[in-house]
Amino acid sequence: MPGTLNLRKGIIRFILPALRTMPPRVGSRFLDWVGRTKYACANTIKSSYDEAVTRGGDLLGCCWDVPEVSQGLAGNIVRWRTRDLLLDGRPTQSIRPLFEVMGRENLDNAIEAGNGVILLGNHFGAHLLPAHWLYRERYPLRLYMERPRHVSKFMMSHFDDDGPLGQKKLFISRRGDACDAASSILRAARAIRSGLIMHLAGDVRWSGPHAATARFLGASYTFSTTWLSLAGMTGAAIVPVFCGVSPDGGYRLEFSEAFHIPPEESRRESTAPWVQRVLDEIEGRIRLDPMNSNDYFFWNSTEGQAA
Amino acid sequence: MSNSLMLDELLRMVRRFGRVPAHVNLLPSSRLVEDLAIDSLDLVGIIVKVQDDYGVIIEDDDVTSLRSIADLAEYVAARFDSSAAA
Repeated sequence: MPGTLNLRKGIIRFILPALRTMPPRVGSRFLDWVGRTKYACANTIKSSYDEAVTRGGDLLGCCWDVPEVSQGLAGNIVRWRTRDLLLDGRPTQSIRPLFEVMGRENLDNAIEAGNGVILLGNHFGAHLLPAHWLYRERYPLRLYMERPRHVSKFMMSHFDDDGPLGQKKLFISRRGDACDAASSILRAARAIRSGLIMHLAGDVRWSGPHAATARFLGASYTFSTTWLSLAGMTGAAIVPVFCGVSPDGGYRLEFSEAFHIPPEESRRESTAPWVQRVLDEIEGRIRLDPMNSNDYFFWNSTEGQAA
Repeated sequence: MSNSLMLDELLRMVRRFGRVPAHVNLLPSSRLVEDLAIDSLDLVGIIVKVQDDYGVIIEDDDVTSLRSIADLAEYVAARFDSSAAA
């Protein structure tokens, strides 16, 4: 993605501390303005966004106003790159009004059913904000993903629990071998059975045994199927979650209706349709709200290797 | 259950759930990942099957030290004996 790394470093180091002294929505709108301004002022960035959005619109059959979508996307990407850092050091009371929460009963009912919960996220919108909100609301959450970087101290304070089912041991690595991966999956399954909510993403490009090929935005990739393995092993409910950024700097957090995977469909030869279903849902969200599509339009064919 | 009987059962289990081809010779010293190329998904399947059949718990942290079929047999035998005694 063009010109984001240095921008993020600059923002994190110099601008965010100042923005945290402002109301969160004001800070968020400032970040949006930074991205939009960079788009408007840098021709290479502008053309890169315009090309990517045009291509994405063509693939999805959407007639978007390309400059408008590109500018909005550029703004949201700056917000996305700053993760939840804007919310650090603020009391929960002041954070709560930022979130418009829909479908919370879908999550609560799934927890109450007692068979475990897999919270299936994605990289649409503000992808780390569901975790931030769940921690704030004291849900028993574990992340089953690579350790997120550049997140708030508040969020990091939940990462160092190294107990048997603590967060530290549940972060995954692409570098481990098959034994490490098996150990990690068994631990995650045990955590789910113990009543912890396991949060992982359904749109992670992956390779190896826990992966299936599916199409996304006109290209074929292999995606992680770990969430399906865990669902098959535990019988847990799967609750999809989406979190978009609103133009005013708030968040629309949506928990969809829970579903279950029949155990026989969690086997490797049966996983692709489920993965595709999740990706189709994300594509549907992009059609409706392309400014929250983050880096999807900039994906290349590089994939990680895993055991 | 004798250790040799358990080892025979484990060899069959590893072949089936690890999807080890018939032409590959399985030995107690065969390493699950390095020699038999068993992937993590099948390894999970083997461990779940062993736990179910022998009524033993294989700790998540211990999985990484079970490199060979002999390691697995030794681990299961130790826990199977103690659970049978209890």
